[in-house]
Amino acid sequence: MFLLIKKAGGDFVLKIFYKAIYIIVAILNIIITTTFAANVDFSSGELKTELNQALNKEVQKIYHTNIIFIGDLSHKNIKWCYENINQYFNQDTLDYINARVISKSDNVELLDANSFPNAYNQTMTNIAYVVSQKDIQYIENTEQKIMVRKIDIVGDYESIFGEITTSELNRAKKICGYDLINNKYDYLITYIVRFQWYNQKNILPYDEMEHTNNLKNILQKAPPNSNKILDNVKICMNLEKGINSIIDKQSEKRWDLVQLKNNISNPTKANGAIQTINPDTGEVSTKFKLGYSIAPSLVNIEEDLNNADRIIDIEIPLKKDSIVANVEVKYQGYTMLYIHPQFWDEKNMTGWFDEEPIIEACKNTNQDVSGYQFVIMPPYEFKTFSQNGEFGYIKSLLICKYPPQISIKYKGEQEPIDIKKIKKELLGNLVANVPTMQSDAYVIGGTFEFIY
Amino acid sequence: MSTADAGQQYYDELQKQAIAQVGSQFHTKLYPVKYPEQGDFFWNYKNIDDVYNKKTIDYINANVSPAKDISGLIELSSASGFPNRYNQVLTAIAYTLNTTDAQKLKNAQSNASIQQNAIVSDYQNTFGTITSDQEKAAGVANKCDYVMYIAGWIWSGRKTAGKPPLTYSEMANARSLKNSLPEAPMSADQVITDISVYLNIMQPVLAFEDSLSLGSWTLTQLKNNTSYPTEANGGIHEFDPVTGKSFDPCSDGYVINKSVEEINNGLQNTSNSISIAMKTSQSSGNEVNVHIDGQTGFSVGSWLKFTTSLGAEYDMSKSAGTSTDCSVKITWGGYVIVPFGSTAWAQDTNVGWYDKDPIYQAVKNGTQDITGYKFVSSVGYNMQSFAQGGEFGYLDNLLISNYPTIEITYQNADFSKFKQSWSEKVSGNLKLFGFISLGSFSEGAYGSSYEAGSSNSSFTIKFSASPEVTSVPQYQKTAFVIGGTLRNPGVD
Repeated sequence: MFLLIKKAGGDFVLKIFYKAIYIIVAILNIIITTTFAANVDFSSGELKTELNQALNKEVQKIYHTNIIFIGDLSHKNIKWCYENINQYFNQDTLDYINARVISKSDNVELLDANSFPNAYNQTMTNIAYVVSQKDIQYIENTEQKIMVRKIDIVGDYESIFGEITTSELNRAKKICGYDLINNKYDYLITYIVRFQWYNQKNILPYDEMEHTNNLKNILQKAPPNSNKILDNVKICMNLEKGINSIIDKQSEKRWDLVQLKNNISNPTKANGAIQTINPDTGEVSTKFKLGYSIAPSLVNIEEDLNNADRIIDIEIPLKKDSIVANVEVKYQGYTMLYIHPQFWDEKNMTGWFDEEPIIEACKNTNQDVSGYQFVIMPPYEFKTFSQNGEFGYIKSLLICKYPPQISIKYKGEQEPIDIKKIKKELLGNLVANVPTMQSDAYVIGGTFEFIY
Repeated sequence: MSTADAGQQYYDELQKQAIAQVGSQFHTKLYPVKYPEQGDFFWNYKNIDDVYNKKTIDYINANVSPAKDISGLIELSSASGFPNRYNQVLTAIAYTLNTTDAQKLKNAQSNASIQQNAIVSDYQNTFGTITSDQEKAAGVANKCDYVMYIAGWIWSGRKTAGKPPLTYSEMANARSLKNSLPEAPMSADQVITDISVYLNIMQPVLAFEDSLSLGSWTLTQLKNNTSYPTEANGGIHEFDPVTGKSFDPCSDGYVINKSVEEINNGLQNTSNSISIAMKTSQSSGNEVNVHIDGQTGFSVGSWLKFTTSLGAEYDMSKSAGTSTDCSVKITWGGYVIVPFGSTAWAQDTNVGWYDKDPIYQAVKNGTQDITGYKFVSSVGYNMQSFAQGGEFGYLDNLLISNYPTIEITYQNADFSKFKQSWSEKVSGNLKLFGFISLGSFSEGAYGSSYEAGSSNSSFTIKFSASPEVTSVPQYQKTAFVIGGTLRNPGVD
């Protein structure tokens, strides 16, 4: 980093702004040290707002989004080379991106490594698919109606075609299978309707019977006086459909949750989990971890980081009494990392992350609705960033190759002078020749998703 | 005035100056550190084989609590104090249900039991009474299990396929129960619906049970990984910086988030500095008045003592040729922030040992009737923040520097006399106000140099790191700890 101050109006003028620079570098998480004039009163809150606004104005132009600063020192740098040639994920990168994010009103704090998957697991464990009393009541009432119809169907049949005898039941068992004919209703539906009235060669598949618009059309051997029976059968099937749609939805969502919970607590190669590599030792983990992916490709990231023309250049006007100056902050070699926890893919049964059950549980809990609910309230605040949410994850990180270059320009003067007494120490990036997997990039800020 | 008051003013000023320089880099307040039994900080923390320097880890794994005699001063425990205390705290925690949730669980179990009756009743109404012989033949204990057996064995088509019956959990986890029972007779619809409802009613019961078992499993793993660190669970190996020998059993893992090269670079950059200025003068009796910039001032018997490695002791206001009238500047040059953390536990791999969540939640839940982690026995420590006397904490950043240089400019002294009795070749250790170590080293951390003033009554002596301390082998190199930031897992 270079710290140049263009024009000096004497030491006094320079000192006036030392504190402002100091606050800015503190916001940007760079250590810069000097003896600052302690009596100059620039509010760090004001400067942070100024810096944030100026930076986001530029970021908006490029990425059409606003970024938020990360407040804690341990997340200032990220190992940008997120995987090796064998596509093992860089353990240090993963430890950065799988942190749970907590809102601190104007910035965010990233917690320890793994804190997001850990908290996600605890939260998901507390969720269950709960059936509402209303649905249970509906199922019970409908079942009752179906039972009455079934009795009617058997009664109508026997009044028209005569009582179903034991020998007829046995004959039907021989044809349709012993386990399928247990009573008169089975006899009537499976043997009479689906076999005799169909084609007398095989049993009409239930699905076909269920999906047809006109039952009588496919039951070509049905006698003319079977209309009332078939009408009742159709009514029964429709009532069952109503129940089944509820039951199927419940089963589907229950299954979804079971699979998700399984993938979270038992990550394997088959369910899409990843292996990591220790960037210091090259050791590959034998255990699988919940996966994340990062875009763009490493080639693109490296190109961007090394591109000296990729500069975000912002200026913050400073005014103290009659002295006016601009602080210029330059971020060189910037690029945006897009980060995704591995999303749950129902088709392939891979991945582990799906925020829907949590969002739904937040909405449903303590209400009599069927759906995901928190059986036990998780110990996190499910709120937005502006409401100080505690359950966030990283969506993207804006990084650059070097910590920002800062300079002050005084109006009306051109000559730059080097302020030798201002010394600096940078965190990271200055260590020459580190292996690629250990290379740091400076994290300018990021975007974060809070689940609520 | 007591030495504690002297220490208070000294540490207050050091903290103020350090915060003025780097305070806003930290998430929490920077506190000075009382010189611990571990000594100085071994900053060269890892060898080329990625084995950790035991002395470094011994420093950062200490437990943090407030010093008893000086407020706002960090006191470190012995090595491993934090993991030991962490393990004890975890042992006092359990995951329990509150009264409402316990009742909810009972209700859910009761609803499930009612639904079991519905399954049996509807089955018997449709397929006839289940006899004890049928139960016996199926190898089940009750009628509901019998219906499940029929569904899993016959209705699933497993009997026809010559396969074992579907288990209860296979049915519970089926995407569509109906599709899993393709050979169910037409009259089985109601029973299948009953089973589906039952499986759904069981979901909250299972979630309660899963939450309880996850809570207790988490605590068990954390305690196990902390007590028995291995390579497999993220433990680290350490080496003795004197002998170079690695220790076989693993220790609880830590990660230092700054490279050795960066720390070295920072220490080399001595123009980054923090200073304290003070003045001394004659007080009544045998005492010396000390006035630290920005503080009220105090009197002490001795403000600085230099003890050589041969055991000779020099009181720097009473030694031959010195005087009680002097200006002093203590400067910590080449300061560096060293961030670090314990190996965070991951539930997916069960690697790592530190997870603050159970402790944080237990403290937050307190004695309230809340489901979650709670203390089931007293830990005997103040679990609050450092500022509130919290006795359970760990360091997460250290502000280190080279050994401070102490520059003393005497007035009303006798330089000729001083010169005769003082040797610049002798190394020793320095104690401020009789109890504050400014670094320590067996051969003497400090050497000295002096310079004459404008007259014989005035001269300057400067203490700085001795050649012995700067020439130690790489892994024995130490830095002075100015201060650190900390976290209290119970509240932070």
